[in-house]
Amino acid sequence: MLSMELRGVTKQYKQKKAVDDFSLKLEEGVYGLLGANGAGKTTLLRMLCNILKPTSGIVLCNGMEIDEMDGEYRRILGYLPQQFGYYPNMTAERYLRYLAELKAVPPGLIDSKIEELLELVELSEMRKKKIKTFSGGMIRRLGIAQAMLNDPEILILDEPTAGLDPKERIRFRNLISGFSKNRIVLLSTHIVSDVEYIADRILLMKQGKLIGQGNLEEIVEQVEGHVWTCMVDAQTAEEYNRKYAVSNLKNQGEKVELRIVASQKPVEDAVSVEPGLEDVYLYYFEQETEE
Amino acid sequence: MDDRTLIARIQRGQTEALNEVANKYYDDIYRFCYFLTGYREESYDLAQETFLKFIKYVDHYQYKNLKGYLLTIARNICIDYMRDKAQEVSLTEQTPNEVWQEVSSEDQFSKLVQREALTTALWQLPRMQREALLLYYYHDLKLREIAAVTGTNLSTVKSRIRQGTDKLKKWLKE
Amino acid sequence: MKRKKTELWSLYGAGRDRRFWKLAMKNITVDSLKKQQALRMISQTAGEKRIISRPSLVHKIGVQIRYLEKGYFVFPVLLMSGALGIVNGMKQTGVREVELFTVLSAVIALLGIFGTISISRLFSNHMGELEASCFCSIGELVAIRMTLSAFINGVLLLACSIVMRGWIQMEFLRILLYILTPFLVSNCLYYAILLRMRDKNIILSFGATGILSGAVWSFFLRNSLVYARGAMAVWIGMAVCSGMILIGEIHWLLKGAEKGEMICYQWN
Repeated sequence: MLSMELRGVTKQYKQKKAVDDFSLKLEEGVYGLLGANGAGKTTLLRMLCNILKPTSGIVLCNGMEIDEMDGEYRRILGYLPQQFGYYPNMTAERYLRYLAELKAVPPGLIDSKIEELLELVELSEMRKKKIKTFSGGMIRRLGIAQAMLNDPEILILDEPTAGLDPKERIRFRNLISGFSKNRIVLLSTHIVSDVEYIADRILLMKQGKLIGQGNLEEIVEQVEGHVWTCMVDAQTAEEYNRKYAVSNLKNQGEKVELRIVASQKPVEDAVSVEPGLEDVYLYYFEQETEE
Repeated sequence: MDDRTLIARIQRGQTEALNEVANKYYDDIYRFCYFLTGYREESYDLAQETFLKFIKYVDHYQYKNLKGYLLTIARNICIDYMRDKAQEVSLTEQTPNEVWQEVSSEDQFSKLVQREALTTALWQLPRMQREALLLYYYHDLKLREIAAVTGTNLSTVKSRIRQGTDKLKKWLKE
Repeated sequence: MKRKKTELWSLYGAGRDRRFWKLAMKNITVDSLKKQQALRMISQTAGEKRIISRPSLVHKIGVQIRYLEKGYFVFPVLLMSGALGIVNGMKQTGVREVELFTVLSAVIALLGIFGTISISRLFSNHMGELEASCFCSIGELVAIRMTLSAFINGVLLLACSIVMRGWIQMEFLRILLYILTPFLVSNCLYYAILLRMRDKNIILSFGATGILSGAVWSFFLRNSLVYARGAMAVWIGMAVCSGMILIGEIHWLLKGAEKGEMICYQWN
């Protein structure tokens, strides 16, 4: 049974702790790592990929330290960084072939794997084209393809849907859902809907710390009683938008329907409603987004 | 396809070539297991186990003599099996009964008798000599390859083959 | 029917006929149903088998050679050939030996650029982070590219020394020293840039440094006193110092590549 464990993982930079005493157990399935920008998600993922070494704490894979496993750990790893790298003058095919070599994909499988992945991400027709001619969405899809070249048991994706249009995002979700059997997939994002639809478990990260984990129901339960709706006029709506954490704003003729996330009832006639994951995000990360 | 090419294909990722190895050598491995252990039915599983083990460690295998390698695995599996069973194949009790089949024609009969005589005689030999003769005469291994498979040295192998052959000679001349 | 004993040994020549053994073994029939069952099981395991590839160092070097732009191999050769062509031309016009070395040194100062650019390419376009997450460690990739460029430059410098030995009356080792020292000193500068600078400016920085370095060398080396025997100690000292600094920089580079911070924050 594939498993990963983080024990007290910390990454300290001068005065700041980018990741602070992070402890977690991961098993097969899809994990969504939610947090605002600067929460330390990327630093955490880099440590999971053995790119950065923790200041303290250890990362284990099947009970072994990934640092000691070295190449043998990276052999089963697939990674899509937030700032995805590619050589602009390489064709898609040559680029994938180069990475397949670096990932020690068995030589007899490279051709078929590239074929299969290009088809999966719908870039077969672009295989001979230079990457510099690709659109942002195509580049992202190429990034997803390279992450899967070595048939990884652990797939780590940092903001994978950045730059994808809604249709591509749905395609990506289906791809990941299909891929997650007998694998650990960890995707870090601030797009709540990505996590909502495909994650089996959700991890909330704030200022380097793990502040919550669980499935969707468990996470959403945490803000039960903190989400309200009310109908106000346009001017009040603007005022409330500045004053409170507003997760949704809908015009209803002359009035505006506001969905507010607050510990206490914001206005007299506000009605408590069932929370959703967007509300959870705002509840925990609203101050950070303001900053 | 020769063994070297098969192994090269497997190690390049074409795992379907593993089936070709199994198809090519299953019978030989089965017979080897049978003659080593004396257990006809169990030898099917022992042969299967040999190939499963081969598959497990094929990444590390450096091609030299594929048949010899498979026989080494088979031998180790059989020895472990017999140790678990806690009994050695006795000299006469385990003589296979298909030796005593009825045949119709004289010609077929004489050939069968000759073959039968050899296989019957083989059962009379101690396991180690039986194994050495099988590997030498039937599996066509060289003396040093037999030494590698059995984990012994060249002089021991020579001695077992010589003694085994002498005993067979004596038995078959009667 | 009774079993008939025959003198097998006399019929088959001391029982050593392998054909006979094979026929005898065929007696042991293999139940096809049980065999098929076993083969099915084996096939299932074979289908699930994940082959682990262990590329050798030679293979990894081959990959880097294949995917490195050919310019990194071609330009140094062209540069050196050009320099030797110019030197040859100057020799025909009867200039002093000092002048020949001056020109060569100016060009050799540029030689190291290609190698360091090829290493910087590993980290360009945000590739460093991705490469660092692959089976082949990024430190290995850096080391391989470094070795390749050292090999090409080494061969070119040696060839240049041999050619110069044929043209001028000077000991071979002395020629080698005069050729190697500008190369080592300018490489110290290039590696310093590699360790300190961010990707966007790096090519310009290399280029500017190379030209400046070449200009400085040609200025200082115009004086024939510099090539006097008495000045040899200075040359040896410079070569040894720059060699040691270069080793230190290479060590720092490899350590930085393994540590990750340089890849993620500095070179990304």
